[in-house]
Amino acid sequence: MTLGLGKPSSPISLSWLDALPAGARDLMTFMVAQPAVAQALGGMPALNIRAKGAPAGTAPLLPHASLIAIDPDDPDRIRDALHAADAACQCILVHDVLQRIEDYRSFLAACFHKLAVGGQLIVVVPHQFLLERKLQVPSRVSPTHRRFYTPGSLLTEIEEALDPSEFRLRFLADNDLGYDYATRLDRMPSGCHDIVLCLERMARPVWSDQLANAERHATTSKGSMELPPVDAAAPVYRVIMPDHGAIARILVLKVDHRGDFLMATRAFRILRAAFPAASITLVCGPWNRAEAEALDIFDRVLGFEFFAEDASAGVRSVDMDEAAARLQALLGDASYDLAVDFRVYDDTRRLLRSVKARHRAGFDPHDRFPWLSVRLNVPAATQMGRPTHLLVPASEFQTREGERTAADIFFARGRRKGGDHLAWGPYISLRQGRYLVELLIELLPGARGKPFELLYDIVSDGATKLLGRGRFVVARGHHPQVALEADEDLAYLEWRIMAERSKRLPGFRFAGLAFTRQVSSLAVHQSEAMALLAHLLPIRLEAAFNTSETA
Amino acid sequence: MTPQALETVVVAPFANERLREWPIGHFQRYIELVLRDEPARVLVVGTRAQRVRANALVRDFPATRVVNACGTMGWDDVVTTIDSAASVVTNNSGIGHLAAARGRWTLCVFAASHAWLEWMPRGPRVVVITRAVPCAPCEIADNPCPNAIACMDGLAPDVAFERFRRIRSGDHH
Repeated sequence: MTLGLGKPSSPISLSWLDALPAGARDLMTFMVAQPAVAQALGGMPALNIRAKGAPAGTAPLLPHASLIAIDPDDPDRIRDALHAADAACQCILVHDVLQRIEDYRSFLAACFHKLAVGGQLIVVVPHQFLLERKLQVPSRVSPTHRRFYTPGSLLTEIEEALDPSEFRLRFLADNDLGYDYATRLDRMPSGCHDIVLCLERMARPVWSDQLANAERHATTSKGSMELPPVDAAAPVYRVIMPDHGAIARILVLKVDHRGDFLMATRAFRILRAAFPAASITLVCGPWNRAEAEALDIFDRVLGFEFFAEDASAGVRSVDMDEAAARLQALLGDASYDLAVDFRVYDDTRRLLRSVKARHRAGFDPHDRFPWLSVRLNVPAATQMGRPTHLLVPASEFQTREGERTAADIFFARGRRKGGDHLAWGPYISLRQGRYLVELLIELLPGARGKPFELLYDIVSDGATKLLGRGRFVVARGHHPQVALEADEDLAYLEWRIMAERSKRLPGFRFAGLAFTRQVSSLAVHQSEAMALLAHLLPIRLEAAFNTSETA
Repeated sequence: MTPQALETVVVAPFANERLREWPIGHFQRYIELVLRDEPARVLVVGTRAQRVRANALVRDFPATRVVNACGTMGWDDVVTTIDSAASVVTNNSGIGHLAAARGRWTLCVFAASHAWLEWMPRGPRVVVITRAVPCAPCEIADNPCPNAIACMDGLAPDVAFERFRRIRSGDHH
């Protein structure tokens, strides 16, 4: 019987195996019968790590190995013992130890780092369903067994402790050699009851260090068309932290006209319901004071003249600093946990800013008031949905093919000689919105009336955005129209008009483009906007926060 | 100190976009600081697919203090774990929103890919820290970052740990 002892020069002889205690002999018999393990066991120098007091006895399993007997409960001594052990081992056998050690991760790593590249680590642990035969700890075999193992859970610990790119698994199997499956649970089973794992240490691949960042897609190329650069040398941190202060004192500004006030009534009621115990002070136009007091919502109502009661009586210019000073005088030293301005238009935010308050809330559709701690961006259709008409004359366009007059560009009948681009321009900015663009192109008098097609494309922002391209038909009696959707404000808008190459065209005149911005219906009613702001306040302030910026 | 006496600090180092993730090395440093200064064990949570990456995070720490729980818990278990945690450290991710909603002390290291006011976790014990960079919010998702992900790589774990510690202790300055 050769027992697959690896190389003929293997230090593990039959006589050595025969001299081992029965349990140890059966284990070694199993291991040397596995070629991958047998080869590993023969490596030198070798280390055999055992647990002090383990039932398998104190004799080493390998005749050529240095024996380290460790106290599983003394991590410092384990570390010291491994530190003192030979480095660059070809074989380390850890037998009946791992299940006793609490910090398996550090222990496995320490053993692994004692291996030479090409060296092998052999770990033998009792099998949960051969020795323990129990679903979870505590062990019925030994109180020193902290964990149970299956091949899967053993491998889980190995992969956690060791970099998977630095080892290859060479062998993993259950060892039930001579095991008696008929043994009752309350009896100690006979035969082998182990898991044997063998892995080989590999040289660390060059790509190993790149794995962590391989999918983060960072590039060190500086500058971008779309993103401003970051000054990495001067980091600024923004910290958003909880504000646990109560909302006990609230100031409401509603200083506009009677109709505006009436439309805010629902918002007032929502606010009161959200903060039933708060003291709420209202500042309103003096003409709304009686109405406000009759609502029985506010603890205090203060009249303050900002707009004229009758706006039809003439435009009155408002000195904002003076108005803010008057408001401060009216409020005295009072400070508030929350001050909210329910005017949807933003011409009263200056007043709000002058109020002493921990939190300020209001509408900010144009992103102008970053100091507001509660900002609601609700489109105001009257201001933002306004239709506009913009006539861009041909003089704003460039051409090589056409012949200019003061206002127009004329294109003579025939094929284009200089190329297919007829006119391009006007490099203007355009507000976000939906536009109908009329191309002011007309057939020249006397030209044949047969319709013909021209091509166009539209780009913006330095030709980085293509907004549209296509064909349009030129016919006598009407101007072609093209729809343009600008989903954001556009800069440096370029419109190119082109002819198909070598196509014969009648004579025509280009007078420019007429942009008509369509009415936007993107809005809510004023009363709804104010109600939304009132609803937003308790949501935001339930988990209120402050921000700070520090280097 | 017995292990039973240790509080749990939950670390959720993953997010649906890699750009939103603090580098593993930063999480490692944060865990070092926790182990140094707090009577706590660290529980790393994530999905089964994230377990191998979490192994790289926990590998250099003792198994007695830092546990890789990725893939071992269902959502209900995660909720229970969060509820008993002393604090939770996350990226801009679902676990951050969970911890915030459950009222736990939550540190969210927030990438500049998204607007913090729009997406940050909200709750009474949430601290969000982000780099105030001019390129935020970029929403470049998995496209290359021309600024070498300065918002996350340059968000120092020592600063985050210290600010979070001070705010929890009532020092907001």
